[in-house]
Amino acid sequence: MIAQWSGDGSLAELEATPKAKLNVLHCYRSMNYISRHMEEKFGIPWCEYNFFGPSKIAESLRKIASFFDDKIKEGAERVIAKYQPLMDAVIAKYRPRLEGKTVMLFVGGLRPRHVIGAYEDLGMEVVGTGYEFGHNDDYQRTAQHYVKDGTLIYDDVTGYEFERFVEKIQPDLVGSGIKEKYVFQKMGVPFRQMHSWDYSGPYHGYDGFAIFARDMDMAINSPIWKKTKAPWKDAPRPSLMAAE
Amino acid sequence: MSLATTESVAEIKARNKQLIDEVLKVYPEKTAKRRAKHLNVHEAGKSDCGVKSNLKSIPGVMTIRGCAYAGSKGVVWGPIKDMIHISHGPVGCGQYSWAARRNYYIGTTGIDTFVTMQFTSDFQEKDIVFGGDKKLAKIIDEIQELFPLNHGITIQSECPIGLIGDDIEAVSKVKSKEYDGKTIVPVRCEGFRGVSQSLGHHIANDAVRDWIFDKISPDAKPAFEATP
Repeated sequence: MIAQWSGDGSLAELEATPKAKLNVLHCYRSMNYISRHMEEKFGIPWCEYNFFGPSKIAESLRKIASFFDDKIKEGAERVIAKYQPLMDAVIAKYRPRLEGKTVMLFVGGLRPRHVIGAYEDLGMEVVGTGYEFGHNDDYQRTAQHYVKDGTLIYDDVTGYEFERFVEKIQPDLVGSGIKEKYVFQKMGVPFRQMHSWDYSGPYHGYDGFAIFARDMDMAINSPIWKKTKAPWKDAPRPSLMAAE
Repeated sequence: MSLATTESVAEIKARNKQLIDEVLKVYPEKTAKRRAKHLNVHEAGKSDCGVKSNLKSIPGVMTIRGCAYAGSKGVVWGPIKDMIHISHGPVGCGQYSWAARRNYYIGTTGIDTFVTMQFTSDFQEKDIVFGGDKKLAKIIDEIQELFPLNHGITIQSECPIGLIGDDIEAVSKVKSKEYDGKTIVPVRCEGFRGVSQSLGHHIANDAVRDWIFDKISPDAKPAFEATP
């Protein structure tokens, strides 16, 4: 691993990147341009991968390993096997509490599709998703590999549209950004920020999946959502009437 | 309160289609026609989601998008920790994006890394009228004096830079020479470019290509030997 673009990145890493033998892209939307250039100019192959949720992580590890020799491929299998018990424990704990819960997402350029695998590993269903700034190739990847029949798709959704969609569909969770958080929490819908992880996270990788599962459960199953009905909307109780 | 579990896929599709129609009713006719192209119910087996994308947002509706400056300084260049990124233009862009993204890094802030710091050229009216190139040159001098361990400087353009026609490329070249070939990258990520953060990513990537990759001298001693 000679360079990371661009988290904790340095100028030296940027300069070293043309020496790479393989470029692996998590955020396709922001990094595809330089990867294509490096492929053309330096002959460096690139591939996309996904580290959200154990299914996608295993798939990605095998995909990346396929570019290398048997020793690396065996290493990938070892890593997958090593973390399987942790993943099974997380799923055993949280899936029963989250099975069948529905999610509506609206994030930037990758997560509207990329996190779907993580939700599905927990038995949850993404019923609506959309990108702020995705391009047609993002929507192609979404359609071909991620969303189910009947999923609502909204590109560059407007404030009004998103509120109405959530109001009608009443998902168990909305995943979007800080500017959407309080709108939906005030509507009584559980919410998790999918940009900043609501200052929790990380959600990538094996350890991240455990944190992801805990956070989704914490949001959806919090007892607070049952208390959102105003007490005076309940029928008046006789004991509260004035004594005669 | 999940409604999905009790309905079939066909019912869900019908409901979603109806929902889209309902939502479009509040818009003026032309706006409804435009937004209709961005909303769809996915059909399994189709090769894309059936929505248009990467187009202008409609003025007057609340979009969640950011601008090209956000895509460039916020996403691509900002996390590069040992370079100093000047938000070149009026103070607002730099100020409101200051430390707003969780760009974690290892380093001693203010000495060899600068991610959580804010560098702005604080454009005033006179810079708009007379141009900001001289100010930029002075800022680069100040940075060199105050933060000598920086490995490079990038100039993240804000909207006015493109509008008034400043020549940040010329300043970069002159200053780079003055400081013995220091990496100084001008980035034309003015916010009005493109429709969202996306073009900012593209412009930032191109800046890396043009000012970092292309400037790597071929006979420089490599930092390490590449594997086969």
